[in-house]
Amino acid sequence: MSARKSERLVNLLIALLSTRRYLTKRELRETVEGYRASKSDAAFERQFERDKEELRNIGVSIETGSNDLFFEDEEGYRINRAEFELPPLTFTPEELSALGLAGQVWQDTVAADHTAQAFEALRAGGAAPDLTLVPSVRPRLAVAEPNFDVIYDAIFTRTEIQFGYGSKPRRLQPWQVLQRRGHWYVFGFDPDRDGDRFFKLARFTAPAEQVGKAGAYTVPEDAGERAKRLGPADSSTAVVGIRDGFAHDLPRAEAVDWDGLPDGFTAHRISLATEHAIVGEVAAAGPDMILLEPPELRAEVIERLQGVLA
Amino acid sequence: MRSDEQLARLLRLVPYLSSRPGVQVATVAEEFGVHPRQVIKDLEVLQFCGLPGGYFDDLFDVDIEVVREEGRIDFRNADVLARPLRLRPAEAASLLAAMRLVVDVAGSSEAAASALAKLEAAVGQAEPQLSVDVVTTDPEHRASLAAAIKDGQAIHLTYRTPGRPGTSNAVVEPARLNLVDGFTYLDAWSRPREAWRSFRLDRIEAVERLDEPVGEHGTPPDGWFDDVPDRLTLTVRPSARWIAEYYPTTSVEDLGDRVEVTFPIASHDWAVSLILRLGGAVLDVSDDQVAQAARTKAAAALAGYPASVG
Repeated sequence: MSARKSERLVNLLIALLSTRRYLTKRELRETVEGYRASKSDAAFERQFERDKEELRNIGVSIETGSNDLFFEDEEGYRINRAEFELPPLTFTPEELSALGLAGQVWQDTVAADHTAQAFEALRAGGAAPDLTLVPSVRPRLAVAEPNFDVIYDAIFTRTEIQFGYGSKPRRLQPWQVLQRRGHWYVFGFDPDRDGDRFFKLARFTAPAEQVGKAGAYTVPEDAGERAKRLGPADSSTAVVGIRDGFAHDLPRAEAVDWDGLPDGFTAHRISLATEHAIVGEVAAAGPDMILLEPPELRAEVIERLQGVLA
Repeated sequence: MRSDEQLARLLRLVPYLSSRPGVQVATVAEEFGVHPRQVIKDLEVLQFCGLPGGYFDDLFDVDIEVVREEGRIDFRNADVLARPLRLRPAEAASLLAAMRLVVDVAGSSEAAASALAKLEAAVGQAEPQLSVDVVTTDPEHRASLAAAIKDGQAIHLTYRTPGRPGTSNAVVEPARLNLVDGFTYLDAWSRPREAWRSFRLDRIEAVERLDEPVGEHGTPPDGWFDDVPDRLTLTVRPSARWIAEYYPTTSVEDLGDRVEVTFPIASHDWAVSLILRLGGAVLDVSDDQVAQAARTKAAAALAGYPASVG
């Protein structure tokens, strides 16, 4: 950004921030250094529109309205100071140490840069995170997904993305990125299929690109709720015999009665995301698990094991 | 540099500098993560900014010559920007997600939770654009591990190993808690093994603090597979290509009708489980012993399905 443009934007912001009345475009053009040099009305208008967009990009919202309720006054602009400023924040020394730890979570992604910039705001506001503690806890998020940064950025600018998935190109209006059991997903609206969809980043077959304009769509207010509802849910169930004492990783295995199991086994009802996952888990456990029902999954486990012998 | 980052920084520099008279250029550069030259460039912009009107005392007051010659900054007349710009949406999302992980891993730390609550209140974010699910672990275990780490105490650990019956025990010297890709690990010096080991917290059954101090073993190494020398190559059908994205690999070679995937392997049991999971999709196993063990286990497992034999 050129020095002249930065200067103009800061001055515009201060003008809008330090006024209680709405300032009209004409007033802004006369008072803000940097607009006075505009060659024509049209040039000023274009510049002013772009400048408002720049301020919006850093999260500054500009109110529009008129000063006189009774006359059709010309529309004016101002910035609400309470919305612009970081509210006063005070942290205890222990809290500042905990914040310092948060600064070490993100590794090598754009999110690490954003966290560092958030710290700049906290420091400027008088609450400097304490980075000196040698931690005995180390929460880390290493994002080994090459597409993460492009997607993450698109979410905040509300820009549609395009990527390869399977053999086809796909489009998505991304709302959220999520990590579930160590895997990254993007969740959003798929305009081609006219519905909410999850995509696993590791399955991308062509890199994600941003396409079209920023601010191209709105994110529904219940995006988080929808993600939970649609999220990789555990919807497939089966009954399996598990050898007593065998350490398994199955969530929510619930013991049930079953006749005719070998000694030393107990039947459990288990739920996983897909039938495929159930067959895989049971086969992987070898002689320590027996799939009891449904019969079609039982047949698949048998086929899987016979495949090893073939 | 992106223009929105520079603009955000300018707006944060003002309150930062005016609350720190005489601050060094080098300090500012470090805290804002930019080169000292950039700090001076930023000041060159800011010296022409201030209240509209354009009179001398409307502008911010900073003597650039003094900054250049003495490396110290006195920034005055900036009451209009006394508080920093609040967090941009991407900054808020990144920091909050990081802070939530700190809370998840920090055991009984109330400071982390209260710092998060203050941040959430200040940022006022409704829908997270980023969410990371941490696999649930026992808060009591976390708390007693954190306390043992802090006090330098050895512990008696009871834990499950996947694929093995029952539980294992070891006296270990805990060093830190790590959160990696959604799973929490204890990094500890294993006395029986005389080596660093990682234990997944959701597989720990019991933690007993011992009245024994820990020894001096340096810092645990980074990375989970550092102490795993074994490699195994599986040649699989393309339908099983997902294993390359699901497990850590050292190399993946696509050969059209088959894929060669090489893994670091922590145990033979794990490798055998993987082969059973894949069944007939495995075309070749680089280690004969592992292949034979898988066949033996598959045959034993099939004995649990009487109708399938003969």
